[in-house]
Amino acid sequence: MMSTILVIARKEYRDAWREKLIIILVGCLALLVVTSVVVASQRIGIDVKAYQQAVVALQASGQTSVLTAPSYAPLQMLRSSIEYLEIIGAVLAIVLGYISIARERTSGALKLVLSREVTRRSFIMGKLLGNLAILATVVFGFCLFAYLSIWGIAGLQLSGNEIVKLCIAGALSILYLIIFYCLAAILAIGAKSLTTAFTVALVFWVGFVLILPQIGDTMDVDNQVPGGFFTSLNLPKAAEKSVLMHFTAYETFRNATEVSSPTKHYERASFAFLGIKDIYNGKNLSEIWRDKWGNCITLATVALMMMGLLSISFIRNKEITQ
Amino acid sequence: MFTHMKDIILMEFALLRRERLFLIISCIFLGLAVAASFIGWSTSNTINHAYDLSRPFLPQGIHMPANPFSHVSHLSLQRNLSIYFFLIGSLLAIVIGYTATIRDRTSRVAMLTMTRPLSRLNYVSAKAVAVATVLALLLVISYALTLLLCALFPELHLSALQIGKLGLFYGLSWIYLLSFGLLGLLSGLLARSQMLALVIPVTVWIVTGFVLPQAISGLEPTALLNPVSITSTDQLPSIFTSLQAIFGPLSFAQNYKVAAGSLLELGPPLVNGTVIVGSVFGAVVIATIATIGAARLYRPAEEIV
Repeated sequence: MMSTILVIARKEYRDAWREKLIIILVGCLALLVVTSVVVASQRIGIDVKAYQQAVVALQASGQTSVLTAPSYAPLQMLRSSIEYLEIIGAVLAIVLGYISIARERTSGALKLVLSREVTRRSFIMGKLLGNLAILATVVFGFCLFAYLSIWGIAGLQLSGNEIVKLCIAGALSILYLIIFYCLAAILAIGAKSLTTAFTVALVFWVGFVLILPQIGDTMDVDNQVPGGFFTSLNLPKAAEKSVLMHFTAYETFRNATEVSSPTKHYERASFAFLGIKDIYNGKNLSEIWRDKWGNCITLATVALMMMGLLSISFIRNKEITQ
Repeated sequence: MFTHMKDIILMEFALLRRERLFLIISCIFLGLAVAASFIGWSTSNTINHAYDLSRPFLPQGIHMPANPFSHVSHLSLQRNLSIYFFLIGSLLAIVIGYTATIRDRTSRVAMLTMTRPLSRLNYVSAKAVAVATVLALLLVISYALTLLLCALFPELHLSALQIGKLGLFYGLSWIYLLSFGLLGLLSGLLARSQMLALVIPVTVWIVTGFVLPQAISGLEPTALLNPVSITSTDQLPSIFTSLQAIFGPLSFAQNYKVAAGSLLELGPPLVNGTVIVGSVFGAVVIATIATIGAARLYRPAEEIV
């Protein structure tokens, strides 16, 4: 059975890279990620160079202990990349999910494959594995690129701890994307019309990725004024918390809207691990995990549930071969 | 000829009424228009209350800045409308336009229709008129719902001038959504596969809605969905000013949001008003010209997968 799954996974992987649409989408995503990483790397590179020049100038004048070395948070430059994976990566996953089922439904190859010693279970497992490999290739390709850009352009070497954090963010990205892959595939299995399935998947995408987080974000009291409402009042952080304590119901509703979207769980966890959210910058893994395990577990649970649902809907749907 | 065009338009209305997907997305669209009022109103109340509660926490001797929401206009509380029209409205417009042409191609009705004394241009024009009318109708319903909510809740009351401005905002939104409706229609006419017909306009939407705006404003993709960030007047680094000069007119989704912010009394008066509003109008003009061009290239007998 294992070898059957691997054969199907390998075929799925090869077929996906032959699809022009997938190549175009991966290309667009790559272009956006590369541009945002390069621009951010250059910005840090300029700061690093300015600091080094200042040190050289001071050393030349005989002063050595005037400047303290600045601390950089190179992983923060991945903020746009994470947001692009959130938005466009999800569309890529939807297209992958749709194509992997639509190809079988329209070509009629599924009937032929199932007439051999291939069970429905091993067939869908193979498809899942193949598409997981595609998403992993894309995500870890971006991670590798980010690592090389930070090193090559910004001139900063990531520490071992930071590399682990980058890998965790990569793993979270795969979990997030597989949710949308499964969603599109489930809809393509169940819907009578394939294009309806694709359109419904896009509606879910707009709802979960864009609208729900947007509602939560625009209801955030601190987001109502450019630069932050509490900052504009010069209010200390502790006082801000005390004020917000009076809006428990409002904040609960706002938070509930946000967390009903897997996108927000992915964003909160990955922003924490990458130190994009300032309070997590420089913190060690166990501290971040203590704060964000809920988001990680929720994301993993939703991904597993979606994979389970996909398997069940494929195994039970007899019409798919007709 | 006009009778046939009228028939096509009426047929389109009848078919759309039966499309469950269209009805669902339309309900979400109208629901979000109502939600926009509620969100604006509840956020404003919360901010005012938070301001009052913040007063005792300020260190002694520090002057309390003015409440940023004390003089906020009631119309600006509808600020989320432009974001929801940009998000779900664009998708709805694409679906309406795409469905109008792809349905006839897959069911082969287009071939039958073309046996009548009707040119391709008239066929496509009739479909475009149907798309424009449906979008206008949905926006009129949304406008009526918003006005109803404004009349019901004193915190949302609008003056006659503000009602007019809101009407202008809906007019601008119609122009903006129509460009996507026509794009969907065009894509449905020419694309070789059903999925491509949907993916092409969605890609254009993503590029004009997220990629170009980020290039010209430097805002992160999620910040582009916050009306406050969009209308912020913060000084941009010089690189973005240069990019704005090149890509600004092409970024019609961002221009729509900026113009909408100004009409809804959220942002400052438009600085490059002609360029910004012209960009939104330009998009619909280009989409119209492209649709007329597509009518010539349209082959109803062509296979679609």
